[in-house]
Amino acid sequence: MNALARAIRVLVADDEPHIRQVIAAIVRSLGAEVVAEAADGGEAVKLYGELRPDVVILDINMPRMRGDDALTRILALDPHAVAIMMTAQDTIDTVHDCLDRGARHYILKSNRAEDIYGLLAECWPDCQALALDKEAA
Amino acid sequence: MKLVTNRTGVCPHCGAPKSPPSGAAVPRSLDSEVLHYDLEALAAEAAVDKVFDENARIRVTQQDIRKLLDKRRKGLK
Repeated sequence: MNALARAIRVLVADDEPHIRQVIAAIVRSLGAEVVAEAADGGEAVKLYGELRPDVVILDINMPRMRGDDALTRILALDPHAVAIMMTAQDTIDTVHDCLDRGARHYILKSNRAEDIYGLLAECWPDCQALALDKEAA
Repeated sequence: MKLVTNRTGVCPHCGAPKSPPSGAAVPRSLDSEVLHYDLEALAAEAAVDKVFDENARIRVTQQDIRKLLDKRRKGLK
């Protein structure tokens, strides 16, 4: 399998600045580049359209536009978008809904930071492969 | 609060029992135990509703999500 010649570019969307910082730090520690941070769903959609990152990490409960709605809009802009939901929403209906909408991964924020690191690291090869496919397309 | 009561309770002409005048409060006991009991009953009902609501929304763990993702990737749902 070919490897991506550059770092994966990531957009992080969460309304809590300190959560964004933690997620961004984890993402950087995985060797990726955080290209932007968004504080709500609308900003995430706008920044996605402008920057076209390889991966977007979306919270769900955000003001103005929720993350699941942002996910739908991002996938309308780019059907190959790779989205990871990172949220405290732990109901089965919400998980199914996000996966049905097209999210690739779903990580609960209720996990400890080191577990979140492990979970992101676990889905990273998939994200890299998808980013490579996207670049080739 | 002053309660309005049915003064005589019977019609002075025919002796039939009188219904309370419209707008007047029906006399009832203000016994604190009765009111306390009502609040407890409401609280108990609310607690049952809460448990039902929580059970109706199935919560998942990260392990459940992992299994769900695996199933979906294998084409099962």
